[in-house]
Amino acid sequence: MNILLALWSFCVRTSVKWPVLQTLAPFVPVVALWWGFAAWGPFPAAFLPSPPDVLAKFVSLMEKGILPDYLGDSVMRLALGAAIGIALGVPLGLLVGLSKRAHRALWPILLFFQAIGDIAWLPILIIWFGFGLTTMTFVIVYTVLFPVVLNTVLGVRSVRIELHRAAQSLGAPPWRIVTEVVLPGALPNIMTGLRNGLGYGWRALIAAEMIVGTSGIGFLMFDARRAGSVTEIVLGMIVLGILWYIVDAWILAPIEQATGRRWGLVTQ
Amino acid sequence: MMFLRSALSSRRGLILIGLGLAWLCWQAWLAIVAPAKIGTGFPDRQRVNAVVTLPFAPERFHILVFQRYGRVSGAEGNSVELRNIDKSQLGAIARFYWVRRIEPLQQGG
Repeated sequence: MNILLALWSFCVRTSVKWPVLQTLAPFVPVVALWWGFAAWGPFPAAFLPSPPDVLAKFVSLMEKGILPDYLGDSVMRLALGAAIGIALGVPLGLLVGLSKRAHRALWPILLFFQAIGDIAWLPILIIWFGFGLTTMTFVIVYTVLFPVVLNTVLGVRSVRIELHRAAQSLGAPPWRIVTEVVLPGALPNIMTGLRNGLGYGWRALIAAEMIVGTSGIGFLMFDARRAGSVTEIVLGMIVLGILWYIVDAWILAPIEQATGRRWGLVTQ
Repeated sequence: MMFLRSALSSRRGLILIGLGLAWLCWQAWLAIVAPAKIGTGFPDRQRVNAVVTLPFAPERFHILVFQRYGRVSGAEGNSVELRNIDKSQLGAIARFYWVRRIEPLQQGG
């Protein structure tokens, strides 16, 4: 018992010093449970592969160049879709947030289309654009757009009216009020929208790749079902989880926190 | 600049920058070793035929990649016959780390 306590104390001390270990620690019991269950053998290995099987498949797909290529394709598609989604979403959000007329005209349309899920567009997109990059990009842009627009509107509306008036009284023209008061004030919300949008976009991309893709992680997973390779499917799921964790926790969340601190949403 | 400074001051940022640098080094290494993979004796014309050898039996993925560069006319063992490739593209094919060797396809092959 004392040895276990000492071991636990050592783990806690080490993980405090190394945040990466702190992140990985919760996965240790999950993987151990999975490994034990697979070794126990209620299901054949073809249905439930063990962690070493998945690791061996990872090494094999890396050696053959398949995993890096598919991963690169998925990431590039997400980056392209996100870039277009932001380029459309932020100006649209500013317009709807700043103009009452635009809000009256566009808000019902935004809510209407927000209710139509991205995957619901796929049948019609396949007819219009076929099985290709355009269809996948459309799905990602559509998915990223709404969280960005709605959060930008929220951000614009949450900028205090006193700041508008102060800028006006100092003689700032409307475009300077937008660029120097409204946009920085809305930036933390825009980042939140982007973070949500990218999360939804990532899931939509995988679904789109499964249906219309000829490459990408979604395609890899869906194609694996033809060969009955559960190992590849599990590997695809693990890769998706790790990649999204890195993008969200290591890149998007720090940027969101930094914008919040810089423009005053975080008040200690 | 502020973003770079904050990235450099965090461990996660340093890991990401390290990964980025490792990727750049890997790409540079692939570019350096690629010419050595291309065999001699390619005819002196714009489009050539080649045999591309891999360290494993090619799968559908590899055939689809090769089809971007030329016409795949067959595969045997670990080799793929690729015809009508632009000679300037041989380097791009050799840059794939999973390509071991590119040699000219013999006449009648």
